[in-house]
Amino acid sequence: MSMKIGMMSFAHGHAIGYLGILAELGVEIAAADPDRARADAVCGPRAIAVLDGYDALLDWGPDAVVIASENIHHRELTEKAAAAGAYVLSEKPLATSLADCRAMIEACDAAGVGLMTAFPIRFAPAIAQVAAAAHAGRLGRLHALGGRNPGSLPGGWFCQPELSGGGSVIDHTVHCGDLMGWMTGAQPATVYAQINMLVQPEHGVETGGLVAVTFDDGAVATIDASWSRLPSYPTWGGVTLEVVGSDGVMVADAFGEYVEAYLSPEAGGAMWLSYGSDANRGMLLEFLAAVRERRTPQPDGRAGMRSTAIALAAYRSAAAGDVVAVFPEGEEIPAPKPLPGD
Amino acid sequence: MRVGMIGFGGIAHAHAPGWTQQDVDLHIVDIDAEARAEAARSVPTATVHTDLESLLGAVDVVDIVTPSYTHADLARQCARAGKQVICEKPIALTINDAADALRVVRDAGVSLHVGHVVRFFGEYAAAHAQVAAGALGTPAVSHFRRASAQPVRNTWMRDVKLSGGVPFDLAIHDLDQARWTSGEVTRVYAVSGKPGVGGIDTHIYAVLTHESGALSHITSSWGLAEGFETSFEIAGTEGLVAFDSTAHPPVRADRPELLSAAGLLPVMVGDSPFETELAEFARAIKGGAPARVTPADALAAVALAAAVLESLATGRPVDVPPVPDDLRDTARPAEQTESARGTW
Repeated sequence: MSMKIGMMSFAHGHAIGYLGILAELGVEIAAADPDRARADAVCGPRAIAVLDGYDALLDWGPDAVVIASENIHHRELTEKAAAAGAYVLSEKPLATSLADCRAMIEACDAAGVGLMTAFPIRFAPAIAQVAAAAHAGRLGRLHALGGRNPGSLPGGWFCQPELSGGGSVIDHTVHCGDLMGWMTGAQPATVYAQINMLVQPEHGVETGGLVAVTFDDGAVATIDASWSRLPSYPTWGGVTLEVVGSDGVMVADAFGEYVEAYLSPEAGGAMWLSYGSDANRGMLLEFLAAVRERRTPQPDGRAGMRSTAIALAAYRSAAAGDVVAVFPEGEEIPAPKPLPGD
Repeated sequence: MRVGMIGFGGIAHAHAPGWTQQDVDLHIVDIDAEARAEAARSVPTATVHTDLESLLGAVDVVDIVTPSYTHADLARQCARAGKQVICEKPIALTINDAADALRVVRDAGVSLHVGHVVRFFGEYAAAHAQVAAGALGTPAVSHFRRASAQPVRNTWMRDVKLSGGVPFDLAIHDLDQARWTSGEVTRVYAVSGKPGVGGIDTHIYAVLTHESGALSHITSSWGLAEGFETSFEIAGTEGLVAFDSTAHPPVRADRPELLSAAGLLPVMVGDSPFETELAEFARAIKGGAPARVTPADALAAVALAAAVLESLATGRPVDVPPVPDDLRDTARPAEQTESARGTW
């Protein structure tokens, strides 16, 4: 029997890419979105049913849902889906507060469903290769990690903190933060961050952010969480990661597979032609496998909370102008709760 | 022009061609007999001296290329002897010592040029020209990275008291670049890891906040097994420039020893940045245009490296003290004023 996947909102453009891959993988798909026209535009050409509201979508009985709403709604939609017995793949950041992250994790734990955070960069081949070396111990002890995730300003609700939780820092700290937690296996302990609004200040949110992190195993790290790519840049942005171990140093460019093209101005001028595997596909295959096997998908909700905590601490640090603890007193990531297939 | 190189260790090999290609009467001194023999061998046109007094009696300009911990004292001694002073970076290992050296040089009425040579590398100069022309708008978020293996031949390099460690030996180049690009720095925070030979941390990240609000990120590493990598990226409000030495090296080889320089210096082709630097310093000393690096720049670089060290020691961000008023314009001795001394 084919798996049923419900798409909850297309507010985040990533969902369009996910939908294409899921359709190609042959799963049964239905969608719902408060912005009906937005959903129709995406689903219509693919003959995918757009149902009348989230309740109707959950009544359809999906095995799992993909949540790509504005960040602020991740919690409410996750709680709804979990209560309906559906696995959840939530767009990143997992939420905009630690309380919301915790509530999402606990809702899924209570319902016995898996919660995955959409960190496709883990599935980029270059990143996966470094992670494999790190996890196999070939880099020795990991001492330092340098991550950069500069991107283009996405506009729209991404620049409305009441919907997104902030600007570039909440949007772009979490990918690198996740990779660092994953590779070290450590918890972030302290954060120091500085932000600015020099690039495209008319949007009223930070577009520049540098975040320094220390981990509880002694590793140190920095993250560029900026929207510093202007329209003149040949692509949207990128993710690179330097991993410095006692036995080796590796540097990965998650989007480094590209061909340089110098075309006529009408054809687009200078640009980078991406090739290689689509990291989103690896991520969705992991999600579908976890649903099928009734196990915890990776990266899970706890990983999502870990990197959200770094981003939230970055805002506190920037406001205080000092180093802050990642987890406020008494706050921590909930202990793991295995699913039957784990 | 009569020029005296003081010291003939590692970096002297990069400086010597900068002098021999100019029309100068070159003298060299080193306290070590082996180094003197090497100087005589590799720079046959130079006069080699056995003691500093003898060298100072024979030259008008000194080029101090000794270990870092001797720079400030030698600069003061040479300035008091009336010599025009060129000195490898860092000018000193503490802010106070650097400020004192600048004042002694100023009061002696001689010039001081400190070898922040990265300003003379073509790739950095090309990027800076765009920044200076305003083509990038206002710099917003910049990265500067420099990575090599740990120098182990000179044991003083691994003693933070003698070399200043990674912050003063390596990061200082990019701290200077960050300031050259985005202006004065107000705060510094740094973290480090990967203990190397001698137990000193070999890998450093630093976050700099500039007066303008711009941010700079510095990666400085002696943590590579081999090679020398540099990269930078300056993202501004109107445009971006980026360079990565690993992306399109002008010359490559399957064996590093086939390249002109490997190890503690980047691979260089064409005009040596050291030659460009020393020629510009020589022209400035002869009354030409001021060099692109001023004594105040050298002092500010020391203040930034000291801030990195302090942040590493305390785990907290550090406010960077401004260059004192009386040392701001020492590049142009004629413009010096009698303003009150700063607090350094």
